[in-house]
Amino acid sequence: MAEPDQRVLPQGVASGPFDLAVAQFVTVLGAQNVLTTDEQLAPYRKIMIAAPDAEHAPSAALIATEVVQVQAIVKICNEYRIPLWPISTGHNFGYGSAAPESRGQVILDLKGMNRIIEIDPVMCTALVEPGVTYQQLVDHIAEHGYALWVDPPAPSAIVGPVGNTLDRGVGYTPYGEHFMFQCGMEVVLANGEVLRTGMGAIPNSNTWQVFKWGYGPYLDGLFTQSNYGIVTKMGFWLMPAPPAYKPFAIRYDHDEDIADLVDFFRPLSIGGVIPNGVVMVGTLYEASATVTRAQYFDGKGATPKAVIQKIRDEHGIGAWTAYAALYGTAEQVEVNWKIVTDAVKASGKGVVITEAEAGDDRAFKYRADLMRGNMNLVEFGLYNWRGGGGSMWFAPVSQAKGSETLKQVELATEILNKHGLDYVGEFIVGGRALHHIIDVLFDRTDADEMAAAHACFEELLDRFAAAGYGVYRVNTAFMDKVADIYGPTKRAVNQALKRALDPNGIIAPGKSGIV
Amino acid sequence: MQIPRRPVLLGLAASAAAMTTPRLAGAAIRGPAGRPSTTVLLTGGAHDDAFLAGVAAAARAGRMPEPTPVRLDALDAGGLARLKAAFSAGPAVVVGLTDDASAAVIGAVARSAGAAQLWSGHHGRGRGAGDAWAARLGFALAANGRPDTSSAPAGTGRYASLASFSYKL
Repeated sequence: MAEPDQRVLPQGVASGPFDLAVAQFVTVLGAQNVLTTDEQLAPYRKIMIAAPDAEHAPSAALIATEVVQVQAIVKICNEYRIPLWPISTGHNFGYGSAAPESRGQVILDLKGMNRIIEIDPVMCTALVEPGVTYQQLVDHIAEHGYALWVDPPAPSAIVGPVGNTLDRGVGYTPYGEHFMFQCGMEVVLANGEVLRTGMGAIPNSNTWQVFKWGYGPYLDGLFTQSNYGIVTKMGFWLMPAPPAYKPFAIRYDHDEDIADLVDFFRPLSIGGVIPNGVVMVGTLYEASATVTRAQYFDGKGATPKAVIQKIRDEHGIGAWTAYAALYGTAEQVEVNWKIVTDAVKASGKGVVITEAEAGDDRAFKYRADLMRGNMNLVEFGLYNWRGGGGSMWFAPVSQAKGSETLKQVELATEILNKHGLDYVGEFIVGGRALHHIIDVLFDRTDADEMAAAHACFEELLDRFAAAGYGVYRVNTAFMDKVADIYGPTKRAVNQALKRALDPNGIIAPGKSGIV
Repeated sequence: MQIPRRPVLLGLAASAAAMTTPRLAGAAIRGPAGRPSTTVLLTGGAHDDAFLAGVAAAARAGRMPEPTPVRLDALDAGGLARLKAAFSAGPAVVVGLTDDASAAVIGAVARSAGAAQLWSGHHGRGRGAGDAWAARLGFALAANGRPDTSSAPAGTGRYASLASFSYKL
């Protein structure tokens, strides 16, 4: 009797057809770009979420460098019904990293499609491929002397605008809502055709990156957080470098100050005085830039309140620290600075900290860099807080009202502490919406703690949903659950679109709960 | 009492070599001529010197080139540039014992560079995770590409807070 095939294979695909498909991948890409050995695939299996690595193990990884290769791969996948999980850089750690939603999918790694096709310093636009990183953009802009800023998310240098925008990620400059500043896409559809959205559909058009809407239904949104096509080029807008930039922090000492804080910043945000997202960072999130839990507490379970207070006292960290910045001409910044500081004074709460006053403070410098679009990896310090390589972002959205905050913090803290985990969170006011960003940190080497983290995340989703809150994004282990939370009608519409655009379901099945 | 650190580390490395027989598993590690060097990524951790001494002992035991230490420190712009350079320097084995945050970034850069992963894991910072353990771990990662039983995760700490890895370019 033949030995059973121990390899990871796509679901429903036998080893024979899989080998035939792999042979065809090799013909298209060359053997060096078709990865199938354990050692080659191990870096793609590395995940930080509370799920066994095996559940998200890929069967192969393909490295494409050209659009025609992507078209050819899609054709092969249709022929053999091979599921294909596209990634750009695949470094969104707390959302699932590079690994696919389900075991056996073939990863299509687009890191080799890393051309900056155009940066127009007059129109302040960019057109790039999926593998382009923010570091590449920054280097390119500096090399050419353009007075332009980029807007990275916190992992900055090692991630790129296409992947982050398609996942509807955010940054920290006034261009922080990335999909809002996206303009034009090129998409390889499941049938192998190439779609250019907006004005890109017109040959010789020079408006692809300046006018988002084109004609007829606006399609770009369909290709974000979805699996309806493979984006191979994306346009977006770059921020002109302002003549003046003034980052600042306001420190608040009491947990309950968060409610007043949101109500204080909302009108300044909606009114445009503060044009970037105002981030209000909780104690442990702020502390992770410089402190580890083991330095203060080596017990099992959640960090006691007294320990958290000790960290605040010893490091001069507030219960909440708000970070924001002013941008514009020196005159504009001066006027807006007066508005902000007068308002703080009138509120009777908070200690304003300027860049000069912060000096070498690592946490301030990190936030100032983020709001300026500089490359910075300090946020990874979160992974040292507890250690053990476990992280899942829980990110519910609410109205930007103070009344939304305390009850959310209390609910999240209760659930996290119940499962032995810490509340490590921040809020971001972006106009009318309030993002509550919590990093569920846990030790993946401790089986009990990993199980607790999974149960905790599930409870967070359930109880926040029961209170009317939905997350704006989620990791690969919980995509199906969140799709359920958004309801059967939305799921049915998503599925109908999938059937129309990808009848064999080959592109990223399971992404956002769409199969 | 002041104890000179270098002789202590050399002693640790020697005992690591004595306890661990290199199996020389990776093709990139064992070639007799034109052998690739081993790059050691260091992030300013307490066990950096011991780990490096262990790697150096493995290099001597296997008659391989002296390892090349690369200090990343804070993983700022300069550190990231040095990290990327370490993964683009041609055939090499890259090993390290770092904090979890650095290991996450290093793993990301390794995959982007097309490195094969021989080992990646987390360790407790407990009583067993001292300099002697770090030296044994460095020796094993450099010699075999992965920890062996004498350098297995210390596991006595309440929480894992160190990470080790071995990549092959």
